[in-house]
Amino acid sequence: MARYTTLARLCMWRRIKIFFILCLLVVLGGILAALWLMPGFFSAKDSTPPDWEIKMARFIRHMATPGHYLKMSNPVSSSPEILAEARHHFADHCATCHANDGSGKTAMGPNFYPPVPDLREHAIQDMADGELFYVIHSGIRFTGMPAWGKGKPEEDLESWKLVLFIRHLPNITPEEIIEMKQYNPMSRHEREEQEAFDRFLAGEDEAPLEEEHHH
Amino acid sequence: MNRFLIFIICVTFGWTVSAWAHGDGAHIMGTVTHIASDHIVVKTQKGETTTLALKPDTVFQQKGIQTDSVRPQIGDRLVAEVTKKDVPQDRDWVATEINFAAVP
Repeated sequence: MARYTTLARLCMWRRIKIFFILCLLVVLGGILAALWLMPGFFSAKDSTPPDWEIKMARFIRHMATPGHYLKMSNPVSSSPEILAEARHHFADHCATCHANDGSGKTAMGPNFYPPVPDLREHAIQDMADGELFYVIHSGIRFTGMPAWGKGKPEEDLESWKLVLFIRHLPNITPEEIIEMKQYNPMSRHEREEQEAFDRFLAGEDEAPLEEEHHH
Repeated sequence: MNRFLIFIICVTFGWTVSAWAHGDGAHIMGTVTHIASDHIVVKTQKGETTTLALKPDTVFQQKGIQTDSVRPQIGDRLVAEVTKKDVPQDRDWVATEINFAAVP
């Protein structure tokens, strides 16, 4: 009897193994077929999502925003001091991808999939304050947008100040953009390079470092 | 058996693919010697001539301020952010951003 039970167990394990191997082969086969059918599917290079995908993704993101955020109003009141603080914060943390003017035209912005949106466009400006806050605080999965929020949302006043700044972006002035440049993160080399460019444009005749600076 | 199951799980779910890319951009500094609607010719500090193709989305900045209407003039200094991506046959670079200023 004991020998029979042991044999039965061995047979059962063998069947389980075969079942798992078959499952694995099916999964691997599926992945290979998908890769064969959709070459470059996971490449973000030179890819722009079609309109329907953008609309669908924005709709899903909107639906996935917890309802109470959609009804929230900004607890921070706008003032020149608050806007300046938010502007410096944006230049330091956000402009690398979004650009100081919010256009998304940066070295990286257009190369994401989906590309970084123009924050001045209607689709963004029409979002509720709470929805913008939720995006900044919680990020968006499967995009380049990280979650900046730490701790409880109600204590995250920095993100609410950024919402104020995003509202201000369609009216940002050239002087504000110039001021933001000093808050953009730069390596020592980039800063020296920028200073050399500025000197050159100001008419100083000293020869630039090199004529082609690759980055 | 446990090791077998762990192997299966690792193989099935443990695949990750990472891709890293960096830009192909560069900067060109020089003086404008010719300008047309689709390109700018620049004489660099080394005395070489290079031709930058202009695209509809090329950003122009005059002394750091973005401008949609003003364009560089012959004799102006410029610093251009350029790329080799989609460069037309008879051009050296495609300009993505051009910052220019008249020599004082």
